[in-house]
Amino acid sequence: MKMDIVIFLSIIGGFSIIPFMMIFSKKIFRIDPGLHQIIFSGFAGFSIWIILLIFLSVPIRNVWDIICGILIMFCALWSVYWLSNLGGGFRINMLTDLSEYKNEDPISVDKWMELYGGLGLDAFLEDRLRSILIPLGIVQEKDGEVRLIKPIGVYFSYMLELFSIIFQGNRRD
Amino acid sequence: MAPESFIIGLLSFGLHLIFFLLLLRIKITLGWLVLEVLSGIIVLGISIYMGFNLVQNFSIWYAISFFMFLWFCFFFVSGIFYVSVSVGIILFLNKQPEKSSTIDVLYQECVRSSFLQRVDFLIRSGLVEEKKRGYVISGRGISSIKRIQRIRKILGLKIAGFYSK
Repeated sequence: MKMDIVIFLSIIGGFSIIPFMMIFSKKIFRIDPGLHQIIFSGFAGFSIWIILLIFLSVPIRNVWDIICGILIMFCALWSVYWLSNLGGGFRINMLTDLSEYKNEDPISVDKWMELYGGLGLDAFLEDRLRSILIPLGIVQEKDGEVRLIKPIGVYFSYMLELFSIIFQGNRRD
Repeated sequence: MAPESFIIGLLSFGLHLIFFLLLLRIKITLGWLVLEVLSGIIVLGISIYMGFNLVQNFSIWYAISFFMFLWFCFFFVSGIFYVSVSVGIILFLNKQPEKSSTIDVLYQECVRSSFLQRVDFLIRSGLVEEKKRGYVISGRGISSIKRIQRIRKILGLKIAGFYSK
């Protein structure tokens, strides 16, 4: 399993994304936590790879090594994206809310929903509509009624329906 | 040989897709995530073994990097499909005769039901305990959340699950 130095350095660049996440979370950088933090860290990790290649004067003998290195960098970025789910996953939020509930009595399901994410589950639906579905032009909301917009929303829903048949949508969480 | 090794990576991903679809159709209680990881590891292992035996100068790094890249992309798409509440809302609206619904119905059918499904999951995982008058976090749940909070603190993750917040 011979590993080329270009690939090895790309792995180092990929791992460096995590320390950059920690650095960019500091207030001094004024980077929004979340997607911006991931993008900036990914860019910094990629830069580290390029700087190491230049600094160590690594001879590029094979363009495929560069392609392989870029793919490894993208994989590292995807991994960090998944790790960021620890910050805002649905179940993790539910569990966090429950752990912060300072009452000795057990919590009712309705109370738990009220506490969700600090704003409540109603706000969560509102957020999904206003931040994703309406801006993407998939649905429109008028007088409390939500409707799929033709043609984008309807075609998109057909595509998801097809996906649901192929990938067993009944396994959705 | 470089291109051949990349092609092995591509073919492995194709095989993974087929194997994953087959696993989904078997009546087992494992979730999509476990099946996808299981399928990926098995197929990649077989492909690497075949690659070493069939391709001269087979580069494991080319094959793995291409496979992993495609796998992560697919992981992202399937993650959205299987978990996203927004996808649930679109699928629900698509099933309605007028392709529309009131916010109250959406809340009940999509958001509240998703919440209740996740409550079941948390109970099954032993992270939450169901009592007569409601729910409490278990000892395992507390230690899990402490671990997560530690990682959140180290990485500076401050996402609250709301895009607009």
